[in-house]
Amino acid sequence: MTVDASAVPVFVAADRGLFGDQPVEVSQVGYEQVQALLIAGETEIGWLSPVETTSFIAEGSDLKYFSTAAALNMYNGVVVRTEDAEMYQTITDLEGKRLGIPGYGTGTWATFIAFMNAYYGIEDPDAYFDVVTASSGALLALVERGELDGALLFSGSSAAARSLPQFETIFSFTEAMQENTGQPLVITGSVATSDWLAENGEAAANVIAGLDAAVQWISENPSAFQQGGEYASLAEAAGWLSEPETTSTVLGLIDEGKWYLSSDSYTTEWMTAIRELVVAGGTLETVPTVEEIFLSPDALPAAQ
Amino acid sequence: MERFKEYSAQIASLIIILLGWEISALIMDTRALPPASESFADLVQLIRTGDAFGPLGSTLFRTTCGFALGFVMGCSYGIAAVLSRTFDDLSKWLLQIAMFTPTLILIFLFLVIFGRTSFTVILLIGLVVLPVVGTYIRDSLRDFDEELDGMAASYKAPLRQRVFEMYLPFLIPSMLAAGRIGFTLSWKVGFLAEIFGFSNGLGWQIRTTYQIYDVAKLLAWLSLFILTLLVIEQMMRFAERRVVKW
Amino acid sequence: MNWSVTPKSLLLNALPVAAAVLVWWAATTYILVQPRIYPTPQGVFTELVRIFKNEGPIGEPYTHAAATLWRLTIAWGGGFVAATLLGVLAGRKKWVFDFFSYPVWIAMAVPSVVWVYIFLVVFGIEEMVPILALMILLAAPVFLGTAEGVRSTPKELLEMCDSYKIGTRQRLFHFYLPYIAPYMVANARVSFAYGIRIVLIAEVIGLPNGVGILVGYWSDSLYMAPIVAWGLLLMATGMIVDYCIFAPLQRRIRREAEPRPASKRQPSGNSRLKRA
Repeated sequence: MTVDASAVPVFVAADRGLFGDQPVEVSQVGYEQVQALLIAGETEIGWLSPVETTSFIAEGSDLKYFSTAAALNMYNGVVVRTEDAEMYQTITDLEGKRLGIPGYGTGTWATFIAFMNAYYGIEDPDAYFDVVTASSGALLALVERGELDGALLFSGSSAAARSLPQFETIFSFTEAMQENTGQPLVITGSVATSDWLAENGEAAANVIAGLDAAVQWISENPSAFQQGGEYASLAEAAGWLSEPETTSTVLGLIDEGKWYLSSDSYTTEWMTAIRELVVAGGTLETVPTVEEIFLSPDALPAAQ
Repeated sequence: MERFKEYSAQIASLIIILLGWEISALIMDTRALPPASESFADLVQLIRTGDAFGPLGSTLFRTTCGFALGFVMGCSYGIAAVLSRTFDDLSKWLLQIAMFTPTLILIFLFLVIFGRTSFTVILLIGLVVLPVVGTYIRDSLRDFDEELDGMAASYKAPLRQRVFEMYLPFLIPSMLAAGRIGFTLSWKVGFLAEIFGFSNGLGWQIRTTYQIYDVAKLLAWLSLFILTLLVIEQMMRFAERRVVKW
Repeated sequence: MNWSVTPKSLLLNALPVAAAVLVWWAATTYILVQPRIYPTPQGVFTELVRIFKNEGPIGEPYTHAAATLWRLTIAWGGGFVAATLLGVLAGRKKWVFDFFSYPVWIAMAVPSVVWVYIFLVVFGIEEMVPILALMILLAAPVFLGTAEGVRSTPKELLEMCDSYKIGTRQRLFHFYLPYIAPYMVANARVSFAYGIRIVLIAEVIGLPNGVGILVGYWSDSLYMAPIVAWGLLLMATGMIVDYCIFAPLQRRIRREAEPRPASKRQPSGNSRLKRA
């Protein structure tokens, strides 16, 4: 199982033995590498965005998204400087302004295009905004310096940006999605090849159960993720500890059950909403069906 | 006295850099550039809690192994290329290719093809160091080659004696010089590989702190990186002086 | 030493490269069948054709390539001139060398990505950010090389200059230059090759054009073939420049400088031999 640093529940589950007897080897890489390894068949389960999974499937990859257990809610989005927050209250106020993005090839940008098409009637965001690319860490520095009016962030930077006093989040993916469809949008979730899922249903079910248990455990033991706590290093790598405010923001959201989702969110309505987002986004010529993208929750046996 | 002047000039430059950093940070007053004092406090914290040693150790381990691999391959290449014209011809283009391949592209390719293990980084470093050390050794050998061989032939020296008493004394200074260049290179390639996706070590720490916009800590890790390199560099210079004297 | 290029040696040069391409083809066709990640030679070739036809996803490849080469040339040229001048000074005055030894080491040790980040924060999104980052990295080895070259200039010669009161200009061109010219060409050559290898890293961040942006784009969307294609192109550029400009230049200078520095350098070798 290969994940990036934001997948804290995966590490917790592995460390506390929440996967039961299921042997799970967890390795941590950067988000981009998760895709490469999964597609290259170097790992069985990877942590991918459902939107990106859809485009991989459309391009012929034999993948299936199979659970939202412990999937990270997509709280990242666009931030502006706090002193500009009056001026830019919604994303459309940034028309013609300098918007920094982490790269044209990134999933975050692809998802952003889909959102602008689907919910804001902006057909060509690249022309609507004055787009500048910069690596994700530099984006915040450039916004703070006033070089950029707004920045579209990856998840890693967004936890920091959400609670730093210098920045104000004016658009977040999951909140925009919830307003429009009533469903959340996640950054990641468990993805595997359909062959592997067909043969290892029980293992997949155990992984899901373990992840749900880990999310539960995290919300019951927030102190383990504070400075000096048992899992402080995990929290640090996920960007929760950069400032005390960040830590309380994140732990607060976890406590409310908003930061990580559980397998309960994995419903037919949710799957349909995700697929409709991709369709409305207009980036794919033919969008695979719900059955092609998602493994039905009933397809797996019960966990041990 | 001479030594004293050398050290004071060296230290003066470091002090000027630190002062420049501190002052520009105070003037700019932004999270993007924290003052030097704040970063060093973070560095001290990293060392005191021992958090610094895990990443430092793994980076150091990979760098050393990769460097050793590249150095041995480079030296063998250099010697073989001088001894055999055919080998030189066979390897010429391959070496040129290795010399000019963009490092970033090598990192991306190695990462997907060989996976994310320490072994991959070691191999990568070895491959980047090989041509640099190799050409250096080859060229310096060639400079003396003709004369030497003529000499050896006229004395009819046996191979063993030729190797130990003629080639090696020549080789050692250039090996040391090539080693120094090679080590800096290894250190940097290893670090870059970590920044672009191997999930531990100093490079990874820098990437993480960078993404969460914790610049003070980023600079703390970077200082640790530079300090270690400087210490190693001093050690190598010391060794070089000793050997050259001998 | 016979350096003429014979058909036989050309064949020997090309043989392993051809073998490597063959292995690449076989591996991606039969073992690692996933063209997106393990591109085949044909796939890379198709991408090369697309690049030459000036077709690409985010702007014209020619524009990107021109921007990258322009940056590389400026950074390399500027870094070379500045570092050579400083290097001459450092070779003459010990304290200058000592003063710069740590900064130069730091310049070399810090990877280009980090330099780019620092400059980006200080200067904002400007063309000069990647140029400056490259310049620093390319200048450092040139500085060290030149200083070494100047220091190897024989003392007697300088004393002679002093006693005849020879002007700085004349001194520079007639006495230093012949000694440091071989070092300068070697420096230029090495730093250009280095520049070709790292220019992409400096470009991944923060600019509207450049090959680095393209490579970042393809790597983000996980297509390896165009990345390999661009790598091949850069590599070819580096090799052509090296072969057509630096190699002949170095040969010429070596030939001209042969009588002096060469005979100066070899005694150490000879004396060791005699001892042996």
